[in-house]
Amino acid sequence: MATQKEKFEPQNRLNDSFEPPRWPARLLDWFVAPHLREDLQGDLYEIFQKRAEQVGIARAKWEYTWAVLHYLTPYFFKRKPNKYPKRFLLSPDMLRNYVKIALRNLAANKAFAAINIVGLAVGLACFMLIAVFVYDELHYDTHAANARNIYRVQLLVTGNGDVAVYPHADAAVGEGMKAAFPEIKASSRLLSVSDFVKFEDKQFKEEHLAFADANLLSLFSVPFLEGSVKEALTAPNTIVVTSDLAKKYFGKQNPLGKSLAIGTQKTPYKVTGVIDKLPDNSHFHFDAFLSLSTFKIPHPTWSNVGYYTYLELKDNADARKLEAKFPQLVAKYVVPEVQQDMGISLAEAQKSVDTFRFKLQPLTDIHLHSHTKYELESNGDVQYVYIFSILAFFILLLACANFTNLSTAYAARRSREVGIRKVMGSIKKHIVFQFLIESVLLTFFAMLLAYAVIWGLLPFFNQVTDKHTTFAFFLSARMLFVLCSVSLFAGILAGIYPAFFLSSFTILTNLKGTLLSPKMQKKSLHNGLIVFQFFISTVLIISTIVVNRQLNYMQNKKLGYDKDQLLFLPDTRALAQNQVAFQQQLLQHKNVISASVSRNVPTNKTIVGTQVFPKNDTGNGTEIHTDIFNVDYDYIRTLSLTMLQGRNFSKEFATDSSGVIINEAAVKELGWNGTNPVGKTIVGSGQVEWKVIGVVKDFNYTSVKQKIAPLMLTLGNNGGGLVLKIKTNEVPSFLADLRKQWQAFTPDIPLQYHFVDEKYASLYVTEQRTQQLFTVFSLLAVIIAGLGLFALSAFVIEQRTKEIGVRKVMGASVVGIVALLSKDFLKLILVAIVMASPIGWYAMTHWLENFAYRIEIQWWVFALSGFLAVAIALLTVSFQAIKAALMNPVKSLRAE
Amino acid sequence: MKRTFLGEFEEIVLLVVAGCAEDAYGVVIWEQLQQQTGRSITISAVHATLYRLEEKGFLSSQMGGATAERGGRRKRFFTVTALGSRALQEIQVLRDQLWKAIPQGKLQLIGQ
Repeated sequence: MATQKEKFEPQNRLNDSFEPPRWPARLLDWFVAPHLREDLQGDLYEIFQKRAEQVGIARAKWEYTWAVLHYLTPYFFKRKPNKYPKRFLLSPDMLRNYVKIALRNLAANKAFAAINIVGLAVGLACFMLIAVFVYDELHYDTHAANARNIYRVQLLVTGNGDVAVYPHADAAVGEGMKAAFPEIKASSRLLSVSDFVKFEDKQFKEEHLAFADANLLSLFSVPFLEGSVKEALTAPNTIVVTSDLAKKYFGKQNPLGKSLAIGTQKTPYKVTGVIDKLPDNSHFHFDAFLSLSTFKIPHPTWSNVGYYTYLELKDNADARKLEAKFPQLVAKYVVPEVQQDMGISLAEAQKSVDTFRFKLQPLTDIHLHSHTKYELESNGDVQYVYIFSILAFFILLLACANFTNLSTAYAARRSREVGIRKVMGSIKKHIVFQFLIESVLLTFFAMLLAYAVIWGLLPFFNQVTDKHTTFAFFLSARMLFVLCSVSLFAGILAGIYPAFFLSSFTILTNLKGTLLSPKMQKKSLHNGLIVFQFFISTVLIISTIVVNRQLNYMQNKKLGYDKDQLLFLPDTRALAQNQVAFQQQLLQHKNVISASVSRNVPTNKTIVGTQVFPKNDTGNGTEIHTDIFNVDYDYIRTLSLTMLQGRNFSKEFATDSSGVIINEAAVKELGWNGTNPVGKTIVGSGQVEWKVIGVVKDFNYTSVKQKIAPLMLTLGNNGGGLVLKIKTNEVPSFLADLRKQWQAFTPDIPLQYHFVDEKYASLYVTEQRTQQLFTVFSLLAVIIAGLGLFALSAFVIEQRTKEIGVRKVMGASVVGIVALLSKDFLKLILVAIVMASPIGWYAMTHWLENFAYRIEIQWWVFALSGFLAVAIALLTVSFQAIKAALMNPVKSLRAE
Repeated sequence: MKRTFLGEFEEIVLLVVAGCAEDAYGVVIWEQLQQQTGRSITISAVHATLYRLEEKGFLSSQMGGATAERGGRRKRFFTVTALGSRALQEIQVLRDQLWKAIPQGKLQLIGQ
């Protein structure tokens, strides 16, 4: 065995010797301090050879290993102390010196320091603000004790290849599911309403009321200020109010036991509990909860929608597995209902098992992942969370790049200082450490300034994001820790390159100052960072332009109806039989062009829909889902809708009560494209038949984000709302007249109204917020990049002062010099633009896919963004370049 | 009196080094020790004691030449320093004193 290994042995080995076991030998070599190693290894080796001859190689090896293990003590490990005094990295004297030199350097290069600190502070502040926004968005609905086990029942109805998603279900669903599946611990329902609330002489319209099951408040762990969570909503006609609402109606009186009159019927509801305002990060914010037990629902059904239904599952229940069992319930309950309702065969109704799907949506997902038309409040979007996270990261990176670039450029000036330090005994570690300390010190200043920036931006930020973050939040230990670590990280990240760059040269190079010569400068890094910064900036500029244009497009899109000076009165229900009389009265007014009694006005959130199918010669066509508007004879005229075929409702035709006007989308979905729909028949729930009398041009009655859905306009007599088209320059005086009229009819109830165009704009609040945030942060990013370029160009140009002087003496023109100096930078910007365009295009195309009606990204967007980037770069560079070019050559050449 | 105390093992090692006829280095000292005391001793204990004695100034050492039987590694030869020999002598004097203080015949009595 030993002889086989011979050729691998060192040369000074004898042929007849044995090889000690390899791993223990290595361990010994690594472990024992160098000054003890040689003779110790030698002794062991000698003993090993002797023992191998005496007792055989195997035992010798074992003994050797055993002996080696005995050396594993601190005594043998401890390295011999250096003869020379140790150069302690953290010696307080040197630390003080580093800080002092750093401060002196900052004072000497004030502009540099200011730009560096401001850039970084803005970056840090943006990062923190966005981080808070993202954090908040990600922590919705977490206040419920069992939030992780709570799910909302969603209903997905498939029809015509489209899936309609409802975030609510029918009254029987929750309890039915709970009865059928033991893994469901509790179910609770919620019905959102708005109505008049009256106490003594105070009466207001409350927009955020909800009928709720008794266990809803405990399910969401809503803390009670007064009353008991267990009993508060059990009895019919009871109400739990928020403290704000209680103050509004009861003032300083104790609300418990008092009665509020609700609705036009003035039904009394007894206050049984007071709660605090619901947390900001909740997906609903109701001001009062009314007991759902007030309604006696004799036969709760399964096939309708309207009740937001929440289920609490047991801890170990699997929601996906539970979902898979729901079709049983659909077959059991929904199918018979559909069959009866639509008057179709059982086989036909069986199809519902496939088209009617119940899903479970985790409570904590609602805010970011639920985007149905019927949300309780406008939700956030997980996409924006991603976008802003990326934005925050890039802004921080941009600021760091700036910092690195400037620090490297200016640090080169300190080449001599580094040289002297090395001569005086600094080793590389010290230099690296010194520069890191400096950059951390700078980031520390930046952090303080960042707090100031946050303080300044916070009101704007809160307003735009519709959040209530206080400045104190940023002073909490947690946030301080985060900001400190981010600053420290940024400081080290930004400082690490200059530190290693400067410390890596020989003393002579340092002392000669040849670092300062342009040749020695690391061009590639500077250039890379500038390209990176302008790449990000250009992408942001492109995005900002596209986002702005898309939003403008949505706001100004031809909607198919005229939303200007269109007024909606939502509460004419209160007038009951007098609605028409009120309408006639209003028509007398000189400013009223047209008035229509209808609850359905574009932008209204509540839209009633139903399943219908076309009645063709050969039988019934495929079922589709369509929305229904109950209108009167004047509706089309009031909204300035365009009739394409057929005619409007008319009092001359008594049969019009079963007539219907449909929109183009309905024509298409019913499969009547290319034929004349007028005169055809549509069959709906309960075998009601409607005869098509006209086709109206498509109009956007919801947000432009959604495609126009099929719609039926039918004559309805129950109204409930009033749409008014007016023409006046004096809106306030008209409104005063309107109020007077209203009070003449119903002195009891306050007048409510809104302008449709204002409501329409409010549909895009989320997008507007995004737009504003995006614009501001893009602007800041561009500013940071601009600042960086400004300082860097100043530095580079300053180095070429002498060259410029010589050029001028030789007859160069100012223009020529400016062009020469700007050229280098422009090249980099152009590279950045070329890189940014496809990325920007890709990202924005992706974003635009969210919108049913969207703009095309045209070539000029890129041209404009590129132009802007070049303009910003030129502005910053040329300022310095012109200054340099205008300088008297005598001055620049006199130095030295 | 300023004196460094010697442990029992240290004293024996020092004595063995002093008693070595040839040049004393690790392996020789180790073998001698085992032979003289009849105990089984690990080589690491010997090394640790030798180095410690050197740190205390009782021993001095120098490296010898490279030798083939040690894989080309040098030996470290230990010699007793003046301080070392004085320490040994002091110990011997002390022991003698103590021995003399024992009354005649007492040990034999105890021994039986």
